[in-house]
Amino acid sequence: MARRRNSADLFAEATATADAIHEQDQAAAAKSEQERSQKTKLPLSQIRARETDTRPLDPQHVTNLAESIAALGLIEPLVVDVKGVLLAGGHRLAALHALQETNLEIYDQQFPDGQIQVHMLGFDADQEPERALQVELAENEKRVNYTRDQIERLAERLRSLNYREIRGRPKEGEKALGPALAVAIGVSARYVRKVLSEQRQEGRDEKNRNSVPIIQKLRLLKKIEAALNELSELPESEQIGRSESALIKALPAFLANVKGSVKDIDSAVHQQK
Amino acid sequence: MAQTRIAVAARKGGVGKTSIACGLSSVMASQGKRVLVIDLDPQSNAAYVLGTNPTAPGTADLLSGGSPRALEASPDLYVLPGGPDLAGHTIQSLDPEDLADAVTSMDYDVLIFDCPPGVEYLERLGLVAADVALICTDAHPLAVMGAGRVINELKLRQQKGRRGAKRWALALSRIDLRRSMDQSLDQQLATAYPAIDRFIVRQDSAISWAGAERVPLIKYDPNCKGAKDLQAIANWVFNG
Repeated sequence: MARRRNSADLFAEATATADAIHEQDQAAAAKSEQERSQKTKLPLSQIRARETDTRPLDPQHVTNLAESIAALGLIEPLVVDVKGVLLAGGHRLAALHALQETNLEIYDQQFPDGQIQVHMLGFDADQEPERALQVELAENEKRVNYTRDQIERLAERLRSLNYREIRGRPKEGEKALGPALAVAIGVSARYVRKVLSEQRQEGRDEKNRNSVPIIQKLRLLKKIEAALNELSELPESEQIGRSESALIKALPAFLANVKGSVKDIDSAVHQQK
Repeated sequence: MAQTRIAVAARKGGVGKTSIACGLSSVMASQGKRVLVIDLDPQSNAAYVLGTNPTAPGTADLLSGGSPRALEASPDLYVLPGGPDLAGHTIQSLDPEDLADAVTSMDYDVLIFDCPPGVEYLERLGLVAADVALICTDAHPLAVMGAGRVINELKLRQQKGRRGAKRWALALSRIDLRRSMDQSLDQQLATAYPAIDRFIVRQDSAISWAGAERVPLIKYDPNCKGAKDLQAIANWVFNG
């Protein structure tokens, strides 16, 4: 057996080690402090609205979002700063409050622990207001505009997953297509309904009218005509450059040609039918 | 009267944190204080030791924004159980000051935070919420090392002017001065931490039996050695 050492030495070694390990303790504490910025959920009451919005909330969009959150939950987390101040997702936050107020039962179903999914960015909006604004704008810009074709394809996929176009509250086992799609691509449920109902009507036509070049030309000419009419109704400026005065001179003849073309194409289309 | 908030911590496990926290709570309640033990340990031993239901909603619920009902162990002695929910992700990502904020409006004379072994983020919640800390160690170098780490953390917080315990003492637990290790423990701590008060809690079977039989210490045996030692600690807490 090894000779037993003095117990005072043993304790001294232990306190020395405690000091040595202190640095690691600090590093670990700092790391966990930093990792708190990865927080993924917050109680709704702890998500604080920002003081100014870059754009006013659209109440209809809020209502639509509340509908889709009721159906699907919150798919895109709210973006908040380290203190839980909202950076992006004003409509979603308003929709969450609206849903909580109007339909607590569904709200509790979607958020059983009262926790809302968030994406927490590691800075303080109070201290870095510019960065906060950038996040708010970037989030708004990042929204991809889905083309009608893409929306239709998405709808098709959802239908294959047993989503149905239904009015009102879905019955047991039914899943509402419109709200699901709306929230997935970040547009209003109303817009989705519009696209889908147009799709149904077009389905009844033999062909998609917009796919015929001549129809497209007609539409563009009509747009030009409307724009020119609007332009000519504007009050005249005091000082105008040479180009603009030339343009004004040429306008009546040009407008007449546009109108003539519209007429020609119109009659051609009618003849085709 | 201002509220007194005490954190009982050790970093090392099995050195008597829960025994001291619960024993002290019983002593203080017997002195006419309204006491709440807040268990920060996922093992949820404090509620068990005090004879209440350790699986009832408790500290984790409080930290998640709820308002759990404290369990009554004896007149003036209440406990919020710990439990496995304390190890969850939500609690882990709390701000160290969140417990301090959550307890500000609680209607008790004394709050005792029973900190867990090992789990530093939970221990920190207690140390930050407290104004007094008791650091427990027994006569083993590993326990002394754990206590040293807690002391270093408290010192650093104080140096940086952060919220948290402003004064602290060492509680030397399960001490039997017939053993040579136990004799030199006090000596060594006096050398290493000359400015820190030390209290000896003697080895006392009444403390272990009270816990095992799930009876608050003063109810179990008001005149035991352990109760006397803990009274000295209570006196230091209230009178400095």
